[in-house]
This record gives sequence, structure tokens and C-alpha cells, in this order.
Amino acid sequence: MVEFKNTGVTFKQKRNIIKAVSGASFTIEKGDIFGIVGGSGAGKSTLLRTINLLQPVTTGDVLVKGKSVVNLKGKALRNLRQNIGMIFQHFNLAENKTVSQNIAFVLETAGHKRSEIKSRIKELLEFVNLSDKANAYPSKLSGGQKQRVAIARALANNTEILLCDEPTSALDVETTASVLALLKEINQRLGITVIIITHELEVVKAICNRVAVMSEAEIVEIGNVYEVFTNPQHQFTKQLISHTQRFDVPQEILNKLSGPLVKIIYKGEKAAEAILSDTAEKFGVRYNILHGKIEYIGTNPTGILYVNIIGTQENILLAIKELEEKTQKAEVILSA
Amino acid sequence: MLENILLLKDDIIEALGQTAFMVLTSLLIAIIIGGLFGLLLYTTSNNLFVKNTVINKVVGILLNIIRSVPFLILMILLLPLSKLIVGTKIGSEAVIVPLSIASIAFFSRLAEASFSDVPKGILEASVASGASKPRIIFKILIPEALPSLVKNITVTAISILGFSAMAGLVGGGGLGDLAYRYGYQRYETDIMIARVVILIILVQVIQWIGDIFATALDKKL
Ligand SMILES: Nc1ncnc2c1ncn2[C@@H]1O[C@H](COP(=O)(O)OP(=O)(O)OP(=O)(O)O)[C@@H](O)[C@H]1O
Ligand SMILES: [Mg+2]
Repeated sequence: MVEFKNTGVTFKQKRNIIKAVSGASFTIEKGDIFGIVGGSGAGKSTLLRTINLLQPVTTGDVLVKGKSVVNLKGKALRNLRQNIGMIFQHFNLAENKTVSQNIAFVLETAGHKRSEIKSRIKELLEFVNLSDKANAYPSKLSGGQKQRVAIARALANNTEILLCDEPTSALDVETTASVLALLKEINQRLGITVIIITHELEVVKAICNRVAVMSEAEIVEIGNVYEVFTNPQHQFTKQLISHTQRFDVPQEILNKLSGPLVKIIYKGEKAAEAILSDTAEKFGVRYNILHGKIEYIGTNPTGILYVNIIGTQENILLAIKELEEKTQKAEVILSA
Repeated sequence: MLENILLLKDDIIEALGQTAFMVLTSLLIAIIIGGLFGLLLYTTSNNLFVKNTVINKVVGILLNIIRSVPFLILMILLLPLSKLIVGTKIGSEAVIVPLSIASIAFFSRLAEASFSDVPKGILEASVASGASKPRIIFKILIPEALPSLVKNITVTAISILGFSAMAGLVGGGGLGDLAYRYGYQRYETDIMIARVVILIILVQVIQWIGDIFATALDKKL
């Protein structure tokens, strides 16, 4: 659906040249919910904006549905944009237009007839569950409602691709969940390819099937969300993910530990308890679970456990070795 | 004092009419031409539209020059132009020319500021939706800037009213002229006071009307 071919964007400022995106090459398939994560200033927005040419590219190419877009101009460019929806962190609705008028604007742009526009607006507002707000002005809506209007506007013209630049970053947890559910529905019911930029890994875990990780203008890792999250390869991704796996055990307890503290990550259904009890028996060690949680990436579980291993030095080492083999990852984070 | 004023009732009404004529005509011209200049300044400074630093700077400097000349001097300098445009160097008609030019320069900058205050996000969203530039200007930029434009039109109207008072000095008529002839030249202070009172009322009324419109148009509140 969207293909980046060695895409690069540089900004020339008075003195210095800023590389915002450098050599991005990857493909987003039709039907994907594709996440792009990375730190602030990594170039995520810049990359996303090359798809509808809000941002011209400096090098390389961007293909949408197999056709290069980087040289489009005038009417051809406007036609492309009409079929690519976009939503933003701050909604970007016209404040002096009602909900209906905001949606009507993009339908009129595409040259629909007045009668069509009316019924299409009705249909769209039903879809985003805002039929009762048709004549309300944006200032009278909550953040979540504004984002729904923005989504309705973005879908108005038979959109095939929906670009989302931090769509939930201005929303609270609950509203975020409902907007994400709506995006998922759009993807599944309407078959629209969704591309989401976010700095919240939770967003990616909740709805994306594939993810690209960006750091300092480069795509450092890309793949299936589950794979990337459970088995990150690049240092930056590891660091990013470890932030969400922070554990908070009081320092006093950590001070009192005898024996090492090990972080165990296990994937899928492989029950951690079984592995723990096996190794406990085999090597005569005891485990003391200090912290643990199971996360779902899409519908796949991944577990994290922090255990304190108690036993003789020798046995502990053997147990850790076995844990390393039998789990996704076992890492000594405190060796007391 | 009241008798004096009553005696001049007809003169005052005539002067009020001349002032209204000068102010309204110049205001209308300022809104149209100044609005266009404001739009030009804005669109040539914004890369979502037709960023063009040269045009922007040239027009900006020209408007600044006009704004930096005190109105009285501008009026005297531009009266030959009045002769060319409206065929006379005296009277309300003649004053309209310098008055309009000063008002255009004044309103252009305010209009530019009104356009600049429209959040970039909504314009970007419109570009992303595939709308053409003229469509974005007429259907998004201007409607979104309208409440602020109306406030700035009010400010401009009140300034023009102030400028128009100086029209008396070149026989332009109006309230200023009346005050000058009776109040200054003949020491009839009550006419001066009456004229000041009328101006105060006029300013209040203009402000009041402007506020009503601006509030009614602004849906952000
Ligand atoms: N129009 C511009 N002119 C100059 N530099 C720019 C421009 N837009 C972005 N940049 C620079 O390019 C780099 C990437 O910016 P970008 O907005 O793509 O980052 P981002 O990953 O979206 O960050 P954030 O998470 O903060 O939104 C930054 O260093 C930024 O300062
Ligand atoms: Mg960004």
C-alpha cells in the first residue's frame, strides 16, 4: 500500500542541515495497522507526512498503491490527498464550523452533490457515534469527541489509508482506549490501512500488527509487533521497551535480598511457573517472586517476572543457566 | 451653552453626516483593499500558501512607510492625488483619498495578524484533505479569522474617526472641522465640548456594535 524506497528528508536551516529522515526503506501492506514509534525528534512525523506529500522528500521515493507520489503536483496531488485521511494530536478542526460543516468541507472538496453530502455526513456521524452532535461547534466537544469528528472527516472521501500523527497523545487513558477501538474497527470493518505514529508503546501493543522503530532519523527495527516487543534486536528498541518494564520494588527490600535478582521474560503460553518449579526441584534453589505481570500484545500474552533466587552459589548459577535456555530471556539485574 | 448648541443644531447634524460619509467610505475601502493586502502579507509569509519573501518585504515596507507618516502630513502630501482621483483638493471627498490610504495601511497589518492567528493545524488538515489553496483561503482561513477581523475592523473604524477630525484643516468638513471653526477660531468652547461628547458617544457605539458582531461570530467561546 505504501512503500518507502530509500526515503530521506533533510531540512536546511541558516547554518546547519538537519537530517530528519534518512534512508527509510520498508513497505506497509494493505490492511496493516502499522505503528511507528521512536523518541521525540526522531523524524516520525516527517516520515509520515511524506506519504501525502505534506513533506516533500529530499532523496529516494515514496510509492502509494504502487505509484510514486513524490513528484505529484496540482490536481493529481489533490486527488491523492483526497483519498488519504489524516488525523492529528490536536484534532485540527475548524472552530467556526459545526461538526457537519467540518465534514462537509472535505466532501465538497471532492465535488460531491449536496444531497449526497447530507446522507454521507449522517452515515459518518453514525459510524463514529456522534449523531447527536451534528450541529455542535468543536468548542462544545470533549477531546475524544473532537478526535471522532476528525476521524469522520478523514474517512469522508472513501479513504484507503488513514495517517494518524499521535492521535491519542492529548487524550486520557479511557478516551484513548475508545479512539483506539474505533481505529481498529475502521481497519477491520472498512479494510482501511492505518498508520499510527505514537510515543506510547501501549498504543502499538493494543492495536498494531506491525511496527517500525525510529531513532535519530533512521528506522532501526521493523517487524511484527509481537516479535519486536518480545525479542527486540536493536539497542534503542531494547531500551524503549525496558522503560515499560520498569518494576518498583522498594529499596529496603532490595537491600535485604540474599541471592541475585533475575528478570525473566517469557512468551506465549509457556507457563513460567512450571519452569520455575522444575528448576527449583532440579537444582535445589528457592524462588521468591517480587514482581510480575502479564501483558497482552494484540491477543498474545507475554510475561515478566522479577525473582530472587536463593540457594548455594553453584546451584544458583545452574538455575540461571537453565532459565536462560527455557525462557525468552533471563537476566541478572542485581547480583547480591 | 445649550442654546449655543441648539443654534448650531443643523451645522452639527451636517457635520455628523460628513464625518459619517468620510469614515464609512474609507472604512469600506480599507476593509476591501486593506483586507487584500493583509491576505497578501499573510500568504506570502506562509509556506502552506505562496511564500515569497520579496513581495512580502516590499509590500510590508511600503505599508510601514505610510503608517509612519503622521496623518496630518500624509493628508497634505496626498491632496494633489485627491485632485487626480476625485477632482478636488478640498472638502470631504478630497479627504477620503488620504483617509482611505492611511486606513488601508492601518488595517492591512491588523488583518495580517488576524490571519496569522488562525491555528496552522487546521490549515494543514485542509491541505491534507486535498483542498486547493483558494478554497482553503475562502472556506477555512477567512471564516476562521472572521471574529478577529471584525474586532480589528472596529479598531480601524475608531482610528479613522480620529483621523477624520483633522480633515477640518483642509476644509474637509465633519465634526473636526466644526470644532476647529467654532471652538478654536472663535473661542466657543461649548462647541468643542459638544463635539468631544459626540465623539465619545460615537466611539462607544462603534465599539459596542463591533463587540456584538465579533461575539456572535466567534464559536470558540
Ligand atoms: N519544517 C521543519 N524545518 C526544520 N526542521 C524541522 C522541520 N520539521 C521537523 N524538523 C526537524 O526534524 C527532526 C524530526 O522532526 P519530527 O517532527 O519528524 O520528529 P518526531 O519524531 O515527529 O518528533 P515528536 O515525537 O516530537 O513529534 C527534528 O529535529 C525537527 O526539529
Ligand atoms: Mg511528531
